[in-house]
Amino acid sequence: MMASRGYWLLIGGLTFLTFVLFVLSLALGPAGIAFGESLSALFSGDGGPIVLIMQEIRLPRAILGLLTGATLGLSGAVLQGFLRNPLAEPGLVGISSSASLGAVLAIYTGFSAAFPLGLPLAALAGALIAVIVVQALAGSGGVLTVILAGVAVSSFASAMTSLALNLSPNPFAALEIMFWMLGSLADRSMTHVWLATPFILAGWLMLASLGRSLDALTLGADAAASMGVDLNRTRRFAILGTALSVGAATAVAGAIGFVGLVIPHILRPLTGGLQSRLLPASALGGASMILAADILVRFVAPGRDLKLGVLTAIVGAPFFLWLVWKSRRDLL
Amino acid sequence: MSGPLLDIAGLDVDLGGTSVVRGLSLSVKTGEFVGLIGPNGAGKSTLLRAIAGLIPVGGTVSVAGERLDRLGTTERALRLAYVPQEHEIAWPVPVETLVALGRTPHRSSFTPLSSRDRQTVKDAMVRMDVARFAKRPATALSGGEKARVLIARALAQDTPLILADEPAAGLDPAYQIALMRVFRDLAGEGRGIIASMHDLGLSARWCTRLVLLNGGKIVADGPPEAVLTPETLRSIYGVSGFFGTAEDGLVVQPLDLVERR
Repeated sequence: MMASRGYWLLIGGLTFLTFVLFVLSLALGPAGIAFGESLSALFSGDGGPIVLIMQEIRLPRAILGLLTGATLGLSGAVLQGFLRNPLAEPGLVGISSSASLGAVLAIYTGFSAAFPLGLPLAALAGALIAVIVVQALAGSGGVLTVILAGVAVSSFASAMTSLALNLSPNPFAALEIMFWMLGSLADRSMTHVWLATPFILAGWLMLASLGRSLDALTLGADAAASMGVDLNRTRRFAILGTALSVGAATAVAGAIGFVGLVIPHILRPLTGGLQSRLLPASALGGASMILAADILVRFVAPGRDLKLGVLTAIVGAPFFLWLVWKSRRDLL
Repeated sequence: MSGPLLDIAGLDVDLGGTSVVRGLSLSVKTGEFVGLIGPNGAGKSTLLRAIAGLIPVGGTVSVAGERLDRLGTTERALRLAYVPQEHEIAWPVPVETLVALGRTPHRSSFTPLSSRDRQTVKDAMVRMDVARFAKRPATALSGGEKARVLIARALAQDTPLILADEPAAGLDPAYQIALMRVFRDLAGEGRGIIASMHDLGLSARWCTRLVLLNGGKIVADGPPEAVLTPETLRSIYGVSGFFGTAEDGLVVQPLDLVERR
């Protein structure tokens, strides 16, 4: 509404940033391919090595970075708006940890080795079971019930993951589980993209439809309901949309923390506190952050396979501390 | 429109296994500014939330002849606005943006504010004297300023019926009187207002009608002079009071506790 120009500048800037990082993600990598050559290979039909690298390795990685980052940013913003709590993030409602548990069980039982899509499918199943449990526990209760149900599901899933690690028959399985849980976009194929995309897009649609309802929820549940917001539908869409998109993102990329928490925080002051404006900005911001982090891991420690989730936490946590330091006077 | 603006018949509300409102019937016409009074726990807030459709109820609530339980949430929001008692503002939203949230039921998804929306928002801000800080974040305002902004939000909803839970709490005397004037004017323009109040003096002077609740039932209903009497003050509130007349209006000032038998 008011001050629209600044907002569209922000959206335009973030879109441009995301686009540039996406192209860089395609163009940069251990195989030193010239910029123009790499991009033209994307659309080439011949089966040369460069074409193979571009189409089978870098393209899925860049697409998954975009999808995962936007998912984390969007769902973080929706959950903070819905729960009216600046500490909310996708992990809070138990989705990430349950998806992780599904993936860990797939590795533990050998299901992931027996069948190439076994791991992401098991992770998705974990996320969907979590959402059914949270929804059933929360019933038609308020915001606090959703948080408590999420914490309970999250703790149980973490405990089961620890149990799987504890009872792991061989150290390699334990190591694989550990590495998977750190989160990474390396060595993903187009099959992963095709598997995750429908769930992610369906989740986005649900989350993106909540803008107006979340705006009204700024004034509390009663006021929002009196302004025509269907609270049950809002809760269902927020939880299910997060489960679908974050569940699918976690299934293909592992658990990547901090993006869903930090990105809405950074962008909220720039969007005038209005949730419907924060959602697209936060999705673009999340995509930029994951794409940038995924480019960085290729150069910070080449050959050592630094995990994406580790980097986002290492960069994210100090930044968050600084943010808290800066705004602590407003919080008091 | 011929019938009453609001018609409540046989309203029952149970909260946590306790019956809070029992078999309550009430009808309010356009042009009325109803003050809902009664001691703490009498069921004032519950009654307002029940009318607004925020809690499950037994019995029927109709606005302009239409039963609210048969309307969708948006349809309901076009007929009545509700100002909660708590001044909840979760994010630092500029005041004009916050007031514009009241236009939510009038807008379809993803459409910008129309010129009519903007005009209504502006009128509501001027009416509540908050246009001066239109650009400031609402979370940075004082308690009384927040209260006025939140009432402006409800006015921007532009509904025939307005419900307000303790709207005068936290306002200084000048703004309390200004608010009473706004409600009187809105009633005069053909709307209906129901506001719960604790300030008997204010409600006696400004409401066109008082409804006295006790134990979830209406114990008195009528013009202020008929409802606020030394007897009702003693039997319902357990206080004695000073009653007088000034500038053609009733003056009520509670004085002291009386021994209840």
